[in-house]
Amino acid sequence: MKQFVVIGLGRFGASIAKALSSKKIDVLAIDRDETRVREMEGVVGQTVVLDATDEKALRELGVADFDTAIISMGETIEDSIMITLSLKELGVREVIVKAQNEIHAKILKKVGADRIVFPERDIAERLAESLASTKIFDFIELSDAHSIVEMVVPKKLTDRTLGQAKLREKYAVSVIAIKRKVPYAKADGATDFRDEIRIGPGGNDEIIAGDVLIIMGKNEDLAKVQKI
Amino acid sequence: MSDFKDLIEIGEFYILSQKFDEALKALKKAERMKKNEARLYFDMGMAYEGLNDYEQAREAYRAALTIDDEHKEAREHLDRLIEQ
Repeated sequence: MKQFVVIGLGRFGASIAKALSSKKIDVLAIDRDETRVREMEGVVGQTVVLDATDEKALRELGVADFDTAIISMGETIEDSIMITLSLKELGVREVIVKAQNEIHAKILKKVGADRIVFPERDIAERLAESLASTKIFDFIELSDAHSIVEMVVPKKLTDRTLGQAKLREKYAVSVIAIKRKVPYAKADGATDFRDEIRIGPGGNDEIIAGDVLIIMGKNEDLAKVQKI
Repeated sequence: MSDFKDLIEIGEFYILSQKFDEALKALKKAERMKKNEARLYFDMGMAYEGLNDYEQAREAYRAALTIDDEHKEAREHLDRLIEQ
């Protein structure tokens, strides 16, 4: 199970920490404000009062061992930039940062943020949803209402053709590609996988267990597909 | 009643045929007979990897390496999955 560290426990940080924790995910919640930290005690797995702009303190806390860090610093743009830089330098694999505006987002990307979120889009719940789901590999927002998701095919849809799965008819979403791990025997006799991608699959293309579907559609329709 | 080695070979055949669920059925049956076989857990890792279940795949590769820490392929697959 992935481990998350949430830095900054304002409204957004606290809601995402709570949402992840409610999905039984390990969360470490950090803020320099003791009152905010105290409010999260018992709500998430671990809490720490700490100034996250202090790189040494972050290193000593062992944040490098976390898979994903979510930075939500409301007060100053500089703090979230500094912390993003520190976390990437410490080796945190995925750093997600709340941006105040487009310029802030651009700087965050330049210093290595892996994903930028805007609080006004009320994304906390949806982000928690996609992070908690083992089915979802990736998630690209096309607009406020439309996205592309990369998900492992649900069991109910396997061993049939794309036409028989009727995703377009039932859920109004389009499968734009199918990614498949194809096993093959190497020269030394060992087995390995190679990735095959079928772009623009047709109704006669088969879906098998383990396939990853890349699907485009309205967010509400994609959410329904994820629940199949 | 198939013996352990047959079940492993059936599992490997299913992996090569991209029938990862079927492979796991055979391999889990084999596991009930004998647990200290790195090849069994490596194959399980492959089947889980084929199903894109990386958490279980990592666990299986780790189990293979616990039994045989020189299992080169299990090490390679595990390293690759940790990087993902």
